[in-house]
Amino acid sequence: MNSFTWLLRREVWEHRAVYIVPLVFLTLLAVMYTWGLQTHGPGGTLMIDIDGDRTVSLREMIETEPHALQVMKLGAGALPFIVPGIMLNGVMLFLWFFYLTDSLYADRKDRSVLFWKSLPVTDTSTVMSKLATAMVTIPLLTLAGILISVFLMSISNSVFAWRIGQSAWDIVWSQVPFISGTLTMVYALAVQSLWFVPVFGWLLLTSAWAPRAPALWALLPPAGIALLEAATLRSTDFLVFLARRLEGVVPTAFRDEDIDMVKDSLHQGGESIDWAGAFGLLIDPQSFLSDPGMWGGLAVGAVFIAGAVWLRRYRGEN
Amino acid sequence: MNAIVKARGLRKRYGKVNALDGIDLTVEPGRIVGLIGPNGAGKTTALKALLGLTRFEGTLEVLGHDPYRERAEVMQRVCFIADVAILPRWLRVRQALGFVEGVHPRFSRERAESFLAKTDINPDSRVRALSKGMVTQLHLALVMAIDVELLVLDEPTLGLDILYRKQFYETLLNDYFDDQRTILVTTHQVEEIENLLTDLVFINDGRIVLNETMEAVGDKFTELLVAPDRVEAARALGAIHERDVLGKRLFLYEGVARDKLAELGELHRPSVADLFVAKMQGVAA
Repeated sequence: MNSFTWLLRREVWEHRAVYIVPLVFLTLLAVMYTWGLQTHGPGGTLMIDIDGDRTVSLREMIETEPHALQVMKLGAGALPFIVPGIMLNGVMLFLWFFYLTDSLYADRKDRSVLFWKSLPVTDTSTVMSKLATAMVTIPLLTLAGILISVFLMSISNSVFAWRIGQSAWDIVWSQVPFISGTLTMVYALAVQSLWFVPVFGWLLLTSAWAPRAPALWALLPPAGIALLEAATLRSTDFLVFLARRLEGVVPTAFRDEDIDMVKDSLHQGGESIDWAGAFGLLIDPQSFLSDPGMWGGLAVGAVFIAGAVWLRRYRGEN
Repeated sequence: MNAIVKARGLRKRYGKVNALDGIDLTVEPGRIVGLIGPNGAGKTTALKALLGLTRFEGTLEVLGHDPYRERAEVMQRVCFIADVAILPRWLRVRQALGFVEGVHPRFSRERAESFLAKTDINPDSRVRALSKGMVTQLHLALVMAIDVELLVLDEPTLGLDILYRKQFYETLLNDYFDDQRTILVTTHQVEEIENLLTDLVFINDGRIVLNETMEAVGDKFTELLVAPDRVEAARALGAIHERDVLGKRLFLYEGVARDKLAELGELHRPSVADLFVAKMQGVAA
């Protein structure tokens, strides 16, 4: 293993939350999902309201309604990706914030920084290892968490299918888009990491600079600028600009139009749903790569990161 | 042989205070240099400059490199234990070994493990579970397993009890030091490293006030214990320091011939601590 790999491992040793927190959340999700599905699902308490005056049991509906199975397949294929994806991505936003604001501050606080500096590791490598942890390690751990959830939820779905007298293979396992779903997640996580580089850079910069409470220092300047703008110019351009960045990659890296095309493609597979085709229509790398905001963000991020390296090297020498 | 450290006119100011006020120092390979000075004398600043951790004026070369601008190169061949350096509390002993092995090309894990085997440290422990003495043992085991040309120790035994302090220096001398290695050490506990040093450097107010090999110190400085009736005669020979000892007067001379002194009373070799006090306080005290 080269030394950078050791720097990356070091980060996970120090910040165990990066795998413990997703594990806790996915366990919670799997338990709650299973509990909800198994207690309210096949037992008949889940009734589907049709035409407002008639309720049918799930079994009855499958027999009378030809699309019911198709809807179930759709759910079995999509839910295990969408639910944990949204949840663990939300968890990741918090992990990023707390990890990065702590990353160049903790060893200054406990004064072990001089131990790390007594080893032949450049300050650039140190800062890059923190950035790589945010951009690669944490998203990969999140992806692993999502895939474990997909698996656990599919097991739960299989039990459900079996309890309503359907084949677990037909309804669940043949429907879950393991490959195309994973690839889409990888794409989403990768573009998201690139999109957030300026945010990561800012957090690293404040972490390297803050005399104490780096998380607070990370939030104060943006809040100050927004307040100043509101007070002097009576406008909210800066907040809008920030919100546009923090809203994430969906508007730039995915298509929000052509929903009908997606719907059609879902059904083109006939009995099975063509997930690969649907995902192929959704992702839009060309729009992402040609977005000036993405490139501008990378440039600003590079400046912040260079600042963090500089502070790591020269701060505290006084 | 090229000098390990070469400083010429080394200066460092903090605001109006001159922490280093023109230091000239050369350290040859295979020496153990004690850098001794009162608090605020500039010891730590000098070491920080050597390790590329602070900007300075003047010229400074460590192993042929400017430590400030070429810190990466210097740190391949230099290691240090700083007085404020403590190991991170979350780190496990095993992780520390793995990490240093992973990032330091000159680290021998085998060597570190054999040092650790002599201690009560459990490889699965985290640093937070170790006593202060154990943390120092661990740190020392890591550093001594790194084959570097210069080892810098800034108050390495601060806060340790006497047993650990003695053990620390014994291990350092017996298991680590050889003629290829150079050690630069600062400490307040002068007596403990006295027999370890090959070179003695006193620093006060950012200046070097003494820079001698230990042999030269023995030749140059003499202590003379005289009875009260010969005090005036002794004083006339130009002592650099004097004090009362059990009803007699003890004088310290620099560069005064021994045979001349022997006529007046008992001759002794001064301890580094006595020499230090004499040099810092001067005759006035």
